Amino acid sequence: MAPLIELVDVARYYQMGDQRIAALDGVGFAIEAGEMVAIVGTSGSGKSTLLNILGCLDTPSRGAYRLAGRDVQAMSDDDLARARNQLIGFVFQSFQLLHRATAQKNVALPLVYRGLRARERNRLAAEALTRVGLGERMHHRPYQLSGGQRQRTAIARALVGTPALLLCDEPTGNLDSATSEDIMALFHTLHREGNTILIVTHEPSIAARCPRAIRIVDGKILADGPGREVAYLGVTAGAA
Amino acid sequence: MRRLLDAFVTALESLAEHKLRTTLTMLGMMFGVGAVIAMLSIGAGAEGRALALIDRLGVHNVVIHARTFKPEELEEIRKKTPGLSQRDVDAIGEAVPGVAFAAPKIEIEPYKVLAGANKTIAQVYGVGHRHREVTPFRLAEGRFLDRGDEFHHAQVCVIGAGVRRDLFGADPALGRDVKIDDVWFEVIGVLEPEPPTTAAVQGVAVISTEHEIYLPFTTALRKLDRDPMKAPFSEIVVRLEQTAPAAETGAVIGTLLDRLHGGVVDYDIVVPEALLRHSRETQQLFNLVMGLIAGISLLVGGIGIMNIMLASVLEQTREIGVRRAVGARRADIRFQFLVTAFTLAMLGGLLGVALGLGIARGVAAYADWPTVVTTSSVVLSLGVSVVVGVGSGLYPAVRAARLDPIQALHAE
Ligand SMILES: Nc1ncnc2c1ncn2[C@@H]1O[C@H](COP(=O)(O)OP(=O)(O)O)[C@@H](O)[C@H]1O
Ligand SMILES: [Mg+2]
Repeated sequence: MAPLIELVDVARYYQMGDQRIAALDGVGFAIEAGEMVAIVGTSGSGKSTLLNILGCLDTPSRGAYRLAGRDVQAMSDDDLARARNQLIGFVFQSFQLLHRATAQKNVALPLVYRGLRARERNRLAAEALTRVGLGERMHHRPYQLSGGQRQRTAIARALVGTPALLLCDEPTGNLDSATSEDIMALFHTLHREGNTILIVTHEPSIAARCPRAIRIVDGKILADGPGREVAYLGVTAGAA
Repeated sequence: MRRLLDAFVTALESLAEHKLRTTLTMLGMMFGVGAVIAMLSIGAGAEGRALALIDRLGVHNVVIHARTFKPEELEEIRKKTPGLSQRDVDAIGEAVPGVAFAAPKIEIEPYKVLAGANKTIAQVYGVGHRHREVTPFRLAEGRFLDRGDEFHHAQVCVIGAGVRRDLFGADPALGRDVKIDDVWFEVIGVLEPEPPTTAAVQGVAVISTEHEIYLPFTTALRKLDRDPMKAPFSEIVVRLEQTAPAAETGAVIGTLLDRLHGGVVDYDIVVPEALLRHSRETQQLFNLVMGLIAGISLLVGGIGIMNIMLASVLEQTREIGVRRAVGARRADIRFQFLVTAFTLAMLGGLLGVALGLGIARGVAAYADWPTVVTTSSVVLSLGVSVVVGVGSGLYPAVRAARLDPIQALHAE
């Protein structure tokens, strides 16, 4: 069976005036369904750029990206939207919840674009919120929730459509260390339940606890292997 | 359908978030639509009133009306012509093609009208027995003047409902005598009551029959005192045959009278059919001007909507990014903004319809001006407001849909 994700020599260039910046420069790897992978690197190393491409929010300037056996470069804008809706769940550093909607409505949002009727959406959203431990907070609005609860809401939104892949960009970046631990524990649980999870982080400690980690430096892959081995590669002693 | 419903709910939520702003924007639409409906209702009311007046003159009639002059002018004129007279009636009836008959009418200002101890003020007319055919009368009691009354100068009269009330109250009126100036007349008919209206169409008085009294014109000429300088007839109503062209026949009558009156124009010829056409043209012009004003005010409302929609695209940039990230297509975003603009315009429009109906009612009640709110004016103004609303939402919607999802997600 083909891997869930397959990147071959992917590059992403940004044109800044007459200068061309390579945010990604010849990246290639594959991820099988059910894996939990950390993408680790310092700020500006190209992690978010990579995640955007994996999440079908952006397309490579060069190279090939196959998601669930389909060539993403060949997809139209509508195809990309459909792929985001059905195959991918995003979790962002800044949560990205709609402030005027309740937790339940926020979680139900992806299902709106699947054409589900409201009652079905609400039922599935309630289930997803219960799964992340927020069953009691369904009718709260984001400003009535703590940071950890907001991120749980965002994770529920990513899970609600049972996507093939969970993409998380610095999911603990805005949380205190105790809450970060809780959220990471939740990801590990979701992984054990069979979800494919990809976490972008600049913290080696988080990457170290993932079964697999990919360290990127200046848009290139430095190392790809077990989290414990790759997480601290190239990090000056004592920095972590 | 579900998509539309979802978009509609989202639109209401996002509009409810900025209640003041939404209200102000809707006010623009509301006043536009309200003004259109109110203006059109006033126009339609005016038209209805004009048509009713013209209808009373009779579209198949040509009305010749004696002009009034200052005494010294009249003296000069009377040297050349006696004014409208039986000679004119006979000549028109015999010589003008397309004329069915001509009916004379004499206006008399009586100095007193009484019966027993009761008095009233009334307009008295001497008319021919065929007068009923040129002006629609509805009799409540008795009969109208007939050929015999006319031939014998009978001292009989038909009275309006108001006259009957004033003189006889609840008592029977038929067969009773009314004294007009110094002559007694027996009541042979009573007209049906009418709402009071008084108006004039090009100098021809159209008055409610409530306070009118009709006598045979022969009797009026013979027995009642009139200013000898006045023309024998105040008015000649010419009834045309069904197929006769009114304007042309009016012109032929004009030529004939010109000859009979020795070139002195001491009369006006009114062709109600031409008035009708004229009134329609005026109404069309009025509607056109109103339409333009309405269009401009709705355009202003539309600019308001576009302004608000552009502002909300800016404000909701992150939300647009989130929606795109979870799977909204460009078309979904575009649709959402269009539905929001539509909702704004529709709500404003509906409030405008309510406002327009209110104004129309108010004008009818307090300014005593008839107003008619037509379904077509409501449908038209609502339709235009929705088209304008959606039209102004189009550009913001396209802009929202064009946003790059990644940049949108990182907007402040
Ligand atoms: N839209 C953009 N335009 C220009 N340069 C960009 C853009 N997005 C990212 N970059 C550049 O690409 C590089 C990688 O950025 P990013 O993927 O955000 O890094 P990370 O997420 O690892 O901090 C950086 O040098 C950044 O300045
Ligand atoms: Mg980043």
